[in-house]
Amino acid sequence: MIKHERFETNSIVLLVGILLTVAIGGLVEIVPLFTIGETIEKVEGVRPLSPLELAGRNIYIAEGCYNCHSQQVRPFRDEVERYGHYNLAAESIYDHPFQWGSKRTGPDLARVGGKYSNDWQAAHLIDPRSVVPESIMPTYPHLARQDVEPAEIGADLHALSIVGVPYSEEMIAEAAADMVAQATPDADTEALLRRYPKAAIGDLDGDPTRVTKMDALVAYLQSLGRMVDFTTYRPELAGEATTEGSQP
Amino acid sequence: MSLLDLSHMARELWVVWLLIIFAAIIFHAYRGRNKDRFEDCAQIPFREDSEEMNNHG
Amino acid sequence: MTQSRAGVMPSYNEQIVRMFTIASMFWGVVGFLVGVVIAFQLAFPALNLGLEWTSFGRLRPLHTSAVIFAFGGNVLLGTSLFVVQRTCRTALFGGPLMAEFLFWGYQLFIVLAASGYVLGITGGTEYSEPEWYTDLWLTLVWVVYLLIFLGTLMKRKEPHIYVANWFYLAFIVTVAMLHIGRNLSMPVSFLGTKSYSLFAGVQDAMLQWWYGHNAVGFFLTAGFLGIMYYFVPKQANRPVYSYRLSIVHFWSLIFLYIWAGPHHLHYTSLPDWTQSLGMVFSIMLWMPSWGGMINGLMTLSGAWDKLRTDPVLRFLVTSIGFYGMSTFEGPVMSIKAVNSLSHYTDWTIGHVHSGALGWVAFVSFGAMYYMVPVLWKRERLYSSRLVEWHFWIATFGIVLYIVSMWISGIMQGLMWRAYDSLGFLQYSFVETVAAMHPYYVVRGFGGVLFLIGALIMTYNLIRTMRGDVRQERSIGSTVAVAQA
Repeated sequence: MIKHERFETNSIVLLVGILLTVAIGGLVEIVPLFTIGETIEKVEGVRPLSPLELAGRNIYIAEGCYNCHSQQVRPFRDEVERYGHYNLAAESIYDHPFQWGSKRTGPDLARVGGKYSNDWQAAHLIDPRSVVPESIMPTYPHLARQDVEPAEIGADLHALSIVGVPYSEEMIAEAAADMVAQATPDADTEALLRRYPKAAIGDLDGDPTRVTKMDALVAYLQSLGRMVDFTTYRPELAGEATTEGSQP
Repeated sequence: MSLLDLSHMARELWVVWLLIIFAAIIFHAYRGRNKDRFEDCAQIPFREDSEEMNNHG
Repeated sequence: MTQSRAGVMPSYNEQIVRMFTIASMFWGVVGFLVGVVIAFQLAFPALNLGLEWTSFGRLRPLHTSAVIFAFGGNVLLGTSLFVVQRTCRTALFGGPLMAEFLFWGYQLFIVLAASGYVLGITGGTEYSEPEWYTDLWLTLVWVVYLLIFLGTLMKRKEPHIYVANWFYLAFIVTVAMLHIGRNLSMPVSFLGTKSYSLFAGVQDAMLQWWYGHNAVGFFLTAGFLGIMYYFVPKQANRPVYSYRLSIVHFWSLIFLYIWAGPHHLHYTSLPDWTQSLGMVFSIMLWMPSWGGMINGLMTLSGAWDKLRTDPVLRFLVTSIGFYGMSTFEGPVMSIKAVNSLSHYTDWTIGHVHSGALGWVAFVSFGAMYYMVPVLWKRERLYSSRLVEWHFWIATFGIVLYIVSMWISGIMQGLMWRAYDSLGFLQYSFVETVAAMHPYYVVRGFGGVLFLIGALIMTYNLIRTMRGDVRQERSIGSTVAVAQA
C-alpha cells in the first residue's frame, strides 16, 4: 500500500497525486460526451451560419451580449410558452464557442429569430428604450456606423472548417460575395439561399448602401432558433435522450 | 475495451471507488500511530518565528 | 512607500511578496470600482454612456477578471510565495529574477486581458474570456510559477510539506489543467486576435463549466484555503484545530470539486446523466467544505476572546463563516428543483458574491493586514480602529448585496413562472426587469460600501508601510492588536 507519508514529504509524488485526483471527474464527465451517440439528437435543418450571420455572432460575442442573454430554453411550461420549443443539443453543434449563457438580465434569445422585424431589431439596438421604455439594455449606435469587412470573413470560415464546421471550399471561396449579397436589397441571392437556407436577406439595418455591423448582428439574431422545424420534430424518432443517456 | 465501456463501468462503480479511497484517507489521518507526527506538523508555521527573532537582532 | 529594509531576513525573498501585496491593493480597488459602475449601469442604463467601450457587456468581464484574476490572483501569488518560504524555511527557488518575471509577467497578462475586453476582444466564455495570445502568455507565466513553487518545496529544510502548501499546489496545478483544457482554440490568423474554440455546443458547454466551476473550486477556494491554513493559525497564535482533519479536507475537496460543473447546466441540452452526476457531487461537496470550515473556526477554540480585541482576526474568522454559508447555499442551489427557480436569476449573482466578498476578499484582507507589518518590519498596523471601520462597513455592504440579490433573484424567478387565473403568463419579461430596479439600487449601494472599506484598508496599509502609527485608544480592554 502506498504510504501517505510520501505525499507529505515528496513534492513530486504530491503533484502527481493531485493531478490524478483532479483528472478523474473531468474525464468521466467530458469524454463520454464525445463518444456517446445519443448526446446529440438527429434532426434536420441545422446548418452553419452564413458569412454575414457569423460576423454578427462575432459582434454578439465581442459586445458581451452573453453576459445578460441566455440562448437555452429549458423544458418548462412557462419557458416554452414564453420563448418557444426547448433547446436541443443538435441546435448548437456548430457554435464555437457555445453561447447558452448563465444569466437572464434580458430575455432568452435562443428563438428570437423571426419574432421581430428587421426594423424593430435595428431600432432596438440603436436605442432599446425607444421601443421598450423599461429596458435597461445599453445602446449600440456604433454598430450602424461601422462597416463589416467582407474581405476578411473567408479566413473565419476557414478556421471554423478546421475545427469541424462543414464549410465547403465553395462556401469559403464565396464568403465575401455572400456576405455582401445577404445585406444588399435586390441582390442575386439564389446561390446564397441554396448554401444557407432560411437566411434573412435584404436591407437589414435601414441603410441599403452599406453593409454594417448592424446588418450582421440583425442577420444573426434573425437566424436564431429557426433552423429546426419543430412542427415535424418527434423526440422519440430523433433518439433524444430522455432518461439516462448511457442506455444503449 | 472502448472508452464507452470504460465510462459505463466508471459510472457504475464510482460509489465503491470513492468509499475505498475515502476510508483509506480517514484511516491514515486518524490512525493513532500518526497522532504525534501530525501534531508536530501543525507547529510548522510557528517554527520560522524563532529564526525570525534571531535575525531581528 | 515601497522602501525596503533588505538584509533583515536575507534568506527569504520578501521584496516579491511586497510587490504582489501592493498590486493586490491596487487591483482590488480597480475591480471593486468597476463592479460598482456596472451595478449602477443595471439600475440606470444611461451610465453605459452610449460609448462602445463602456457598455455593461464589455465592462462586466473587466470586473470579473479584475477581481478574480487581478485582485485574487495577486493575493494568491503573493501569499503563496510568502507561505511557501516560511513553512519550508528556505528562499524561493529560481532567485529574484525568476520571481520578478513572474510578477511582471502576471501584471502584463492582466493588462492584455483587460485592454482586450474594452476593445471587444474576447473569447466569449465567462471567466475564460482572454483571447488566444493572452492565454499563451499566461501559460508561460504559470509554468514559471509552478517551477518556483515546486522548486521551493523541493529544497525545503522542513521534512514535512505543510498543508497550506498542498492547497496552493493543487490550485497551481489544477488551474494549469483547466486553463489549457478550456482555451484550446484555433486562431483565425497569427496576426489577428480572433480565435474559435476547438469545441462546440454541448461539449463546449460542459468544458466551460468544468473550467468555470473549478475556477471557483481551485482558484477561489483551494488557493484561499491555503491562506486560511497559514494565516488563521498565525494571527490567532495557535496551531490549526486538527491537522488530521485538514488531510481529509484536502483530498476529499479536490476530488469532489472537479465533478460539480454540470450543475451550471441543469435542464439544458446537456445529457441527464451528466447533470445528475454534477448534482450528486455538488451536494457531497458540502461535507468537505464544512469540514474545512470547522477546522478553521475551531482553531480559535479556547481563544474566542481574541475576536473582541483583534479586528484582523475578525476578518479571517468572518471569512470562514461566509465560506461556510456559501458552501451550504451552493449545494442547495445545485439541487435541480431549486436550480429551476434560481438559475438565470440574480440569486446566482448573490451567491457568488457571498463567496467572493465574504470569503475570498475577507480572507485576503485578513492576510494583507497580517503581512504588511511583517513585510515592512513594522511593530503594528497604522491603525486597528480603521481595520474595525473597514470590517463593519464592508460587512454591512455584503449584507445589503446578498439580501437584495436574494429578493430580486427569487422574485424574478417566481415572476417568470407566474400564471394568471386565465392560464396565461402573468408578466411580460420587461415587467420582471422593471421590478428589479430598487434591488439593483440597493445592491449598488452595498458595493459602494465595500469599495469604501477597501479604500480605508489601502490608506491604512500605505500609512503602515510608511511606518506611521496612529495614536488611538486600543480596542477592548487589552492592548493593541497587530502582533506582527
